[in-house]
Amino acid sequence: MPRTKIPKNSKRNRDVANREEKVRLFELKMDSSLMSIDNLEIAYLSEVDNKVKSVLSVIQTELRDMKMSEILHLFGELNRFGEFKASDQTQMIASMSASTNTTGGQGVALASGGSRNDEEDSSLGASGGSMLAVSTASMLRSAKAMRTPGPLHSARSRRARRSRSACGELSVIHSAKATSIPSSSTNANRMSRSKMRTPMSARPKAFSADRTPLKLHRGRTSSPSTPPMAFLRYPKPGEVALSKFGSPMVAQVMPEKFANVNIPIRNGILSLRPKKLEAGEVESNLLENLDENTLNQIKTLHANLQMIVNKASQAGFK
Amino acid sequence: MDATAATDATGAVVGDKLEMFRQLNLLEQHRVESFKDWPFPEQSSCSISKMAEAGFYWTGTKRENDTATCFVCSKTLDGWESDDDPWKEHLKHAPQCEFVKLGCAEKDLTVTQFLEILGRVVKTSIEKNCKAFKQSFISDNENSLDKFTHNK
Repeated sequence: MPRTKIPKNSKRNRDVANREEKVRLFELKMDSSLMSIDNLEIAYLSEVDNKVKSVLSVIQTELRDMKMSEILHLFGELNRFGEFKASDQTQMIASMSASTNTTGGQGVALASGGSRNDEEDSSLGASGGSMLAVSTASMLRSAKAMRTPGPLHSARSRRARRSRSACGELSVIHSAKATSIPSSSTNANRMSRSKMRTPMSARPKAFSADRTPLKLHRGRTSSPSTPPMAFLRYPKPGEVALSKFGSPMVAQVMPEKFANVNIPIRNGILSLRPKKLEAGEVESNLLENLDENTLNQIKTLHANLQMIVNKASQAGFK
Repeated sequence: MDATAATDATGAVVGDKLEMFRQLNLLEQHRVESFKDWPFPEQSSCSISKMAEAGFYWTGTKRENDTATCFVCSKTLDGWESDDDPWKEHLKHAPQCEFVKLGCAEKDLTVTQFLEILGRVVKTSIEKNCKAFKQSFISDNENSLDKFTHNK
């Protein structure tokens, strides 16, 4: 009875296959190492750009426009840019700006007085007083003029927004705000309000599309309405997105004039805006919803964006 | 005033604080000091100080002592003649160089311009180091692969 012939040199064949497999693995590993070196290089290059930009944005205008010959002398005395005090010449400019500052401050006070301590105006006024001022005051005036019709100032200043839904502030993204309101106080407020209410308001509302745990949300410093990265959802068919000032609009597309990236993930959309993102703000549980496909797409996007940035900087765009 | 600050012939005061930039040849003073040897005297139009002002540092050797390289674009030029103008030669051979495009000496650059140049120089240095590292990494790996495949 014949049987399957087992070749005698099978061991050698296995060895050869083993070696080939090893060589293949080696090449794979080398390729991936080279790619990660490239990625590191790109990351460091953009880090350099960021650092230069941040130094430029941090140092004072007098320093920025100073000639190198002067600043090299200054380096003997300064340990850091922050220690720079305006010299005699620049002090004169500073005192001039200080005088405009006081007049500007009055303008701000007038403007915010006129608006009866409206939320937005008073906050603008407070920050405007501390900043360089004339421009702020005029900005404030124009902001007042451009106000779209909405609830009366008095109505708005009396209490926080009635609706607990996400439209109030886009703290959507981080639903901490909504839950931080103690329920007892909300009930007390309800008592003082008219009995005529939409019955549907008794229904528990979604504060946010974000179902992630609420820790780590408090420390954020950037403005809540335009975080650099946010977890949003697209409106469902028929849902109407309301603007802050009440005019209805349908947000099927992001009507934004700035560059942004929307990434569909398993249970919603990751929306990235052109603002600096702190490492702590990227939460791992958000990223758990990324599948491999999406991650690869993001990597391609990242490479494309980087290429655009590189091309632009090569072409000499600032 | 920092007591360790050094005053050189050009009158610039550069303390030890900026010493870390020496290897990038970022500062004119450091470029001046890089010239260990140079065939032309100080009064010629391509003297050491004028070369350094136009962004060149010395990359020569004992045998070829007239070789200099730009700290921004890394263009290396040799065969200088005593009536060559470093700025003109720089522009002619490397018109894309960001330093030569600005076209002014370090003392007339604003801090903003200088910081942008600094960014460019640091990035060039990163790219150069990465390239060198990758090359040595690849050749090392290929050598060990060779050894492995021939060592049957």
